[in-house]
Parts: sequence; C-alpha cells; structure tokens
Amino acid sequence: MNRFVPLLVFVLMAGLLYLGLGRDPTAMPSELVGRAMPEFALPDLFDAEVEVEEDIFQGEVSLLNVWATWCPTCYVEHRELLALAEQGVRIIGMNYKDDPAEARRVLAQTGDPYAINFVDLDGRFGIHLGVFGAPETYLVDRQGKIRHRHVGAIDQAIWATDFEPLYRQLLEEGS
Amino acid sequence: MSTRWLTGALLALVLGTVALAAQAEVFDQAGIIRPSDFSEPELEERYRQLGHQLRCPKCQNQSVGDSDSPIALDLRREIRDMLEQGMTDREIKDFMQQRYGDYILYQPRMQQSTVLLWSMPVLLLLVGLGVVVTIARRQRRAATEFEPDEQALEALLSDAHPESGAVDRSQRPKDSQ
Repeated sequence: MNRFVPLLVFVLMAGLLYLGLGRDPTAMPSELVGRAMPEFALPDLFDAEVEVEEDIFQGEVSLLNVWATWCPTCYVEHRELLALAEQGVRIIGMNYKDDPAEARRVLAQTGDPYAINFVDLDGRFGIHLGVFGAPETYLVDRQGKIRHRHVGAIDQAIWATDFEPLYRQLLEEGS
Repeated sequence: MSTRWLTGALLALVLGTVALAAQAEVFDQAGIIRPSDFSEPELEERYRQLGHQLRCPKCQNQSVGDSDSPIALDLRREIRDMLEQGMTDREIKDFMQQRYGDYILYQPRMQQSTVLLWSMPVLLLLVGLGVVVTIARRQRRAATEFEPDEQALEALLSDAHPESGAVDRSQRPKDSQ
C-alpha cells in the first residue's frame, strides 16, 4: 500500500502542473465585467463643446473601443471595426491619451466606424475602466452593464468566438 | 598583476554606474513626480512605498514605481493625487484592486480565493513533520520491539562454553535442540 504513495503524489502533481500549462500568466481579467459603466462626462471628438456621458450606453447593445493614433495595433483592428459597423454593430470610440486633431485626421483618412467618439485626454477615465493599453474593447448591454472585455485587436476569429455569441444573446435580452 | 587591477577598476566603475542608475528611478520620463510635488514629506514616503507594492498592469515584471510604461506614469500620478486628497494606503489599494483586479497587488489579500494559497506552506510543513515523526516512530518501535529468543540464546551460550558461558567465536554454533 505504502509503495503507491510516491506514485500517487507524482500523478497528482503532474496533473496539477499540466493544468497550469494551459493558463495565461499575464491574464488580467477585467474587474468591471458585471458592473455598470462608470460615470463620465467627456468631450466629443468632433465637437469639444458637446459632452458625452455614460447614458449613451443605455437602451442599446454597444461596443466601447479604446483606441489611439499612436497605437499600431489599432490600425490593424480598424478594418474589422469598419466591417462590424457595416453589419450594424454599434461601436462607441474612446480616443485614449491622444491628439484629437490627429485622431480626426486619421478617421477622415481611414474611415469612421464609430457611432460616437469621445476623448479621454489624460487617461483618467481609462483608469476607472481598468484600461492598461490600446486597443481594448468592452461589450456593454442595454442597461449599460459591462459584460466582456477584450485586450488587443479584434479580428474575425476573435469576434466569432469571444464576442458574437454573447452579442447575439444581449440583443435578445430586453428587446 | 596590472590586468587584475584594471579588471577590478572596470568592475567597480560598472557597478557604481548601475547603483547610481538604480537611484535614478526618481527621474521618470514626462510624468516626473518630484518630492516637491508633495505637500508633506510623509506623503512622498508613502508614495514611494505604494509604488513598490503595486504591480504594473502592462509591464508585469515591474512595480508601478519602477515601470516606464504610460499606464504606470498615469497610476503614479493618480496615487499622488489620492495621497494629496487624504486617502489612506488601504483606500488607495482598494481603488486599484477594484479597477485592475487582485493581480495588481503584490501581496494577495486574504480572501476566500486565496485562503488555500496562504495556508498551503504551513499545511505542507505540518504534513511533512507528520511524515517524519511517523517514520521515526516506526523505526524506533522496530528497534525496541525486537526481543531475543531467550532459550536459544541460553542454549548457544552453554553449548559453546559450559563452564564460563562465554561465546567462542571460532566454533560454529550448533543447531539448537
């Protein structure tokens, strides 16, 4: 009986370590999933006089895309965002720690997939969201509750596996 | 002999430079936060300590105090502002944890999900001690439980030397009975 103890210990440890191999050590899941979009009042990208507030998320399922002109990955993602906007997905843009004039210029050049775009100039609101880089995308439901966050660019595959099922489900909710 | 001196001098120079560079953490890029930015010296001290207690969310091998990534600069500014507003260290860490999750704290808090993490070393130590004690006890019992067969011993002794009872090792022992 005792002779099996070392074997059992080995099998147990091997199993645990094998499970550990599949985990991403850098993963930082968003704390905000399941919570309401934090309050904000930030200027619209195209008209600094207009204040955009968190109530723009009420009543419709939306994506919040954190982007900037200094972020190379955002250019890669841009094509996918245009395609999604074409399909009718409502995308709200947050221009993060960027130059608004430059941002306007880039959108004019490459196309604008955003229904609304607002500016977080110093990144303070980004901190409230738990943003640590660009691009990041949040999926927000009709009640303004954050339901998912993705760090990094969205491509077709990521949209299909990580976003689409939940997005469809949220469209069904409370319609 | 002279090359050894040269190597030593070079080494000292390199190490000295490294030591100085380590002190230069105070000069953080565009978001320079100087001791004069604080209304009180204790706040600056707390700022330094908090910087080492929080992990940079972007460059995760560095602390918020050491990292040069933009988010670390932002968080340092935020910490400074919160300190000036009079928030306690606990409140500031809560603020960070609520937005960035448990991982931003270097020392995980004691909560349901981390109870096992914290107690595992102690538990393993106790288990290890238990194993050692059990094995030691078993060995000792095996040693003390041995009881020699008195009769056979007596027979051997008397066969060898009927008068003195001493054992003559040059003779092969006879079978008992």
